[in-house]
Amino acid sequence: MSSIALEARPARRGATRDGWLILALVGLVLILMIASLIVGRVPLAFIATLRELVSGDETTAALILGEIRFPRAILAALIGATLGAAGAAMQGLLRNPLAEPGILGVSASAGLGAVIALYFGLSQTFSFALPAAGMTGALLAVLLTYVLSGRDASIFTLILAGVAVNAFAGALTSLALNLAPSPYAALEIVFWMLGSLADRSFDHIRIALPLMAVGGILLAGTGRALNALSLGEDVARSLGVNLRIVRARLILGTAFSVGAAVSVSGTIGFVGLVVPHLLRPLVGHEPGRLMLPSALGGAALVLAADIATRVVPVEPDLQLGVVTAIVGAPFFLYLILHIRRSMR
Amino acid sequence: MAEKVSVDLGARAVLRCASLTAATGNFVGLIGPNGSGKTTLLRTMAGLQRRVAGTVRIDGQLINDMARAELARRLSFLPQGSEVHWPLRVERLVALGRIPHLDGWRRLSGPDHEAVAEALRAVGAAHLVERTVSALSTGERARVLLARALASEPAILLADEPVASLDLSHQLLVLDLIRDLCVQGMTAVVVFHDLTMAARYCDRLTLLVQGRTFAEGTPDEVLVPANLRDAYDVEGALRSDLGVPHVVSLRRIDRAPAGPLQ
Repeated sequence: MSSIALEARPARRGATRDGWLILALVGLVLILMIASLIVGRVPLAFIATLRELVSGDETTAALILGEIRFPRAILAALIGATLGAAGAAMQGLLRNPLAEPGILGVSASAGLGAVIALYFGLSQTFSFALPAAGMTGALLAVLLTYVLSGRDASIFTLILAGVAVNAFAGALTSLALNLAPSPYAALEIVFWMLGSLADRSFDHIRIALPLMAVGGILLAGTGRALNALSLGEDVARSLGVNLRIVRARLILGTAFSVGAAVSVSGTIGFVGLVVPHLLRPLVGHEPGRLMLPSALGGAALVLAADIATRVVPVEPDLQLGVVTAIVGAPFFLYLILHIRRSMR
Repeated sequence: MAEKVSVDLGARAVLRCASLTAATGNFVGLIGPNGSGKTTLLRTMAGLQRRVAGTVRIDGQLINDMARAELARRLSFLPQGSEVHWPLRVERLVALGRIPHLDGWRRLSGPDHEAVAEALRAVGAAHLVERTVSALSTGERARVLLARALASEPAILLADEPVASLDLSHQLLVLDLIRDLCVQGMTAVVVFHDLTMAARYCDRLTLLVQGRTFAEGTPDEVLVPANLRDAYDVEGALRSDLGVPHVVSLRRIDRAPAGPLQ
């Protein structure tokens, strides 16, 4: 094609435009992290306590800050980021704004793994049993989804396989509740499933972080392929995208990162659904540009929700998954109505 | 280009030893009745079809031996329909056509933006650049998607009915454009339903019937009354009494339930 002189229009770059959005979201996450360190049942003189912590004074306040609130805030940010990024990834892969990280059965199966650990009391025998069982559940779910849908599965088959895995994991979880040896055991399982970050330590971060990082690395770098997928699978392939690899990266990345997240926190719903949808208009609806902002937005939302569980004065404490669902479900409804309106 | 291509999809053979050759700079029209395998042959040539027997070569090289990225740089595929899953801005959508030229982490740069602007101008859609694709009319969207296919500056364009949803004026605009690009050395294989447009613009035609190449040659050679009768069950002729070729269909030929090739 011969080139012809162009109209003088500065070439806009997506990166610089997203720069401000990302900066703003990073700022929001930092503010919420600090708030998460300050807010709690025990009032702390934050600066003074921070100074004690840094200088190694083993005061009660420094212990609370260092051993309870820091891991909790970090974990909230990590889990939120995981759910936000995985939600954006799944919505991009399935080209469906109603997709969420657990759509292929990862969350439900990680939950099932953890519930099995609780049911057999493994979590009392050794402390890592619960997250380890959760991650095993997530990985088995992905294997099952892959086997059910086949290597060259269409998106539709993939979703159906996910539905089947979700239903099966849900049924087995119900079975565990049904056969729970005591009401107390059933209550423990139910509470765990509601999702919480209470009483988590740096050990939990140490367990979850490696798999989360592997998952994040798998998800990162699929942006261009996700953009190409907006034009359908045929065009994406004709643009040089290796769909088989991209699909495997997105599914495995989601399984690793979300599996690890659910294993330490329980299921925290709606974050991965709502956050990508909220931020999508700000990145021009491009699925590839959505992943990083969505990770930051997810971190902010889970931090905020976790702060809310501590601020709202009810007994017993609100569970994190309850707060995100109470905020998320009405939004989900709004989403459906909005989509229906724009379809008309 | 495509030689003795057969495609079996389950119990049904979609293509049986179909062949299509397009020389460099040729504008080849792929025609045939509904269900004759035009789209499948086009997808096969784009390297998208599974379960293919036979070979597709570009400049003598088997496409199966080419890296997908290399194929993407040389060949552009425009499917039928106007599937766009997100309400992207037109400029960003057309820029997706530059993906084959972006290796690794390289972002869009000057030449890419030039190619995008040029492609949009070529299809007469430069004024749509700031619009959102979901807000476009069907015809506008079809042109923008063609601009996406041209933005990669392909050596070969494979397009499936690119003018099906366009009004007459824009049909001429798009086909003039493809012909001009062919004069400059691009090779185009385009699926047509409108035989008049095919006769008017194409250097050569390939007529598919039931998955086989039924006739191949210049429009004058292919669109003879006998072929129109056997392939389309229509009594008709290729005329040029207005100075440009046009295909006239006089009446439908009723046939016994047996297929048109009996």
